[in-house]
Amino acid sequence: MSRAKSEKIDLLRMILGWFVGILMAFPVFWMALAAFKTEQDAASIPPKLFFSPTLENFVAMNERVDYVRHAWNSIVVSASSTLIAIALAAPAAYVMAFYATKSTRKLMLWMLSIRFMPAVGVLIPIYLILVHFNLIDTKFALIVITCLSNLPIIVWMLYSYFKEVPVEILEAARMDGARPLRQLRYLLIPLTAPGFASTALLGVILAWNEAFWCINITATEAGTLALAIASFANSEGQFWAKLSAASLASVGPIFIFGWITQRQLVRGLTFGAVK
Amino acid sequence: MKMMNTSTIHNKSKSPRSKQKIRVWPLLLPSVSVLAIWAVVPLVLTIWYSFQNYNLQAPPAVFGGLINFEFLFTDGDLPVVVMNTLVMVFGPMLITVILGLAFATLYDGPFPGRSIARLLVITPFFVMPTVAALVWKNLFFHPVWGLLAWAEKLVGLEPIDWFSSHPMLAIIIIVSWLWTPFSTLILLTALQSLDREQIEAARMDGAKSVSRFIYVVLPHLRRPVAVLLMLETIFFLSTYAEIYVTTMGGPGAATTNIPFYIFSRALMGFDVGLASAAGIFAILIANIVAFFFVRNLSEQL
Amino acid sequence: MTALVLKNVKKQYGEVLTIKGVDLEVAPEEFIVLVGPSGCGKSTLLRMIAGLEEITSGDLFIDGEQMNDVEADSRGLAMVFQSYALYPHMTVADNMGFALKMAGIPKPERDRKVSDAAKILQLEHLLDRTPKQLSGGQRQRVAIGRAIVRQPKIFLFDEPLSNLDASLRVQMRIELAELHRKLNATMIYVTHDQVEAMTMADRIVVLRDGIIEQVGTPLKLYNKPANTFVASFIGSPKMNLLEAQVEEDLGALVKLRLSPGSHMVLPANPQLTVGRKVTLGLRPETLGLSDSGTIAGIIAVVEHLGGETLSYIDIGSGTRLTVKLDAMSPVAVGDTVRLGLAVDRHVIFDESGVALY
Repeated sequence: MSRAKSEKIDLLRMILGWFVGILMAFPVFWMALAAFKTEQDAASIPPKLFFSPTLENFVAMNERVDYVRHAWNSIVVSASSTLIAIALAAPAAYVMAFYATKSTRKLMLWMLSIRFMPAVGVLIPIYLILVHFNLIDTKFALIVITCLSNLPIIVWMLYSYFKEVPVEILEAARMDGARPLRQLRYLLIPLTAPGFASTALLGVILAWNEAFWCINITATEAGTLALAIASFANSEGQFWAKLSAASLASVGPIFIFGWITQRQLVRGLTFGAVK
Repeated sequence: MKMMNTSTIHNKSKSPRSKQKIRVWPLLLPSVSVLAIWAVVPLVLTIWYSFQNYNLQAPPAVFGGLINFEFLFTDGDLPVVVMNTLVMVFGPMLITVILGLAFATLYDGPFPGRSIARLLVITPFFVMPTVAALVWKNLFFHPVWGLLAWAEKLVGLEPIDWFSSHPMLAIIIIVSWLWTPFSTLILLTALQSLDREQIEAARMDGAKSVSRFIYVVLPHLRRPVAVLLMLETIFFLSTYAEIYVTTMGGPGAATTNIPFYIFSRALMGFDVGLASAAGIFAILIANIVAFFFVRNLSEQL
Repeated sequence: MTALVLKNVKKQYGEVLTIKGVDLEVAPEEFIVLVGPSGCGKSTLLRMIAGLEEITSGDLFIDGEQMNDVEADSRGLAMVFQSYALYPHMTVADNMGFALKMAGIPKPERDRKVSDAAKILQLEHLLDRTPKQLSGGQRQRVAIGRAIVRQPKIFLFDEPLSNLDASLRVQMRIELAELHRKLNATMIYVTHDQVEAMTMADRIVVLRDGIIEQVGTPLKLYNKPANTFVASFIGSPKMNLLEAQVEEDLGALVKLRLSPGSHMVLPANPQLTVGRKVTLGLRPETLGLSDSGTIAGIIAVVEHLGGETLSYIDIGSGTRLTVKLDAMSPVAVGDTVRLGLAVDRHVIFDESGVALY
């Protein structure tokens, strides 16, 4: 390929690459912009690109939707369900990675198949059970359910990180006189710490965005941000500046998490089928 | 030539190695037992309820035999619901795969600012479905205040009320926007694992860029695309939040899919029996797809 | 007192018996090399000695004590892995000191031992680096240093040089041999490269398919191989193995027919009866150009190595001989030549490949 032609392609690539990126991110950008507009500015036609920003929406949204409480619930539910899931998953992942047998492989596949069970199929019994035990609209119920929903993915992620540790390193440690617990402490944990971190981030992201269970089994007490946003659904018109502010505040943290862990997300969500 | 391998197998030793002896069951038990309860108990209950005539507003539950299934399959809405479900699965799937492929090819080569541009493309994926749906509903699709309405007026067209006249299309657009980044990421990762030497060999063999794409790149993408399709099927089958905050399944049943159908019958119509029967139906479909996916995966473990 | 004894050791994986009964005695301070083609079981054997694989049946004794059921971490052995297996997140100093830390040795003493070992291997200036920052050769030294620091009863090496490039390999071979002398340690070394075996070993153990084909010093294996397998495995270029038939008994001599145009006359042997089909083994350096030679052939390929010339000569019946010639030999492809024994060394193998001495 001639130099000129390849330079042209690179230029085209750059232009298109940026264009596509901006296009895809535009709705988010527009929403972020609206968050700082007054309701009047937000609803104006033609749409305003330049305006004097205000923070009034962020204040007002708390009144409308009790943002603070919902945000707190989101944080608590995401963090706890992820931590519990990791605590349950780590020993299982360790066994599956280093003591793999035909049965452990079957076990892993079974776990993954559970992930594919549509939540909607078990909505009714879960709902009725929760009603029976008076657990509707409690953070506890949401934490348990979110934890269980994400558990298979977390086991899988940890398993794949454990498997990346070359067996020889552990054998060398064995020869050096280290028993399993010491291998764990001095080798495995330091070497897989980044993996644990990415897994935790993925768990938090999945839990944070979880809307199905949240809408159906929580209300004002334990509702997370997903529910808060959903409650804007039926409002009429004059709320999108506030809606945008609430939305921005809800998705902002996740953006940061997500941008950091792109590659790990692919691995986790495709069960490592694509590296 | 190097063999392509997108599997997670590594460390292929010639023979199994001896391991130190530890007791594995106590380590496996917590997660396994918890997942077993989560998997089995609700499923059993759903099956039980599907055979019950049980309306929450008029308890108690009475054994109803196959009445729910009868009702389900004679419900006038059911064919529409099933059709909607299929459209909601294959519509976004088509869009996300084509766009994903296009974007992945675009981002496969270096250009200044590529990482930032790539981050921008990924952005929609992190937006909560509820937020995404509402943003599109109010900031774009709204016939009075939406950007699209403004653009249409500029061109001299009547602004469309998307959610009244093209509700399904609107939902498909929202879902596609949310999931194209996912498809792009997967296909981009797959493209980047393609051995350059294969492409170079094809060039030496005289293949032009289009042929190179068809005969070298596409086959390499077969496995990731299969994974992508299966995953999207699973996720799109349970599209829910987007419907809830925009159309509530309407107008009529125009945008009701199976999950929403179950939701409306159970939590709005309070008919537990019917909703359970529909739930079984949904589970069956999901299991069939899951079976194929898991089998594909087990080859790589 | 022997350093190591293997008595009828067997290894079974499921249905397959991979090590089929191995007996070996290793004397203290000996450098033993286990050599053989891939899959012969040499690494498995080494790992059984290390304790990383279980011994299905048979006994392992180290310093007179039975070690079958002793855990790998308590056998007092050190192993250098093919991939070095350094701890990626630790510095060189920590890597080398890890075993001592596990043994509970206090820091000052640990540091002293680590720096002693580092001095021997010229690693002192690298002690604060991590494995990522080291070259292949340096990593390998660290792996060896890790082993030295422990002052083990026996050093185990699992193909440690195979990941190095050719020139580095030659250099490391020499360094390992010197290390052996300096430490006076017992070393068991696994490789598939017969050059490493020949240059470093006190004794070589040739393995094939899970059994020992022959044990002996390098020169013994070279000059008196026990069978055709050992004969062609040891020595490069390979020994010529020719199909021959005893044609005539000439009293003190015997005539062997090699091909329609070639024959060889060798000292008689009661086992060489007329009509018997045998295999004649001739190393490339034992043949030479000779006008009165009894082998006739046509030169097919000539390789000029600078210091010597290798020629490949077809003598008919599909047989091709490799012959080492003087660098100045005026040979060219297509020449018809006559070959004779330049050095009076040969081996005769019977029908099943066993050497007849």
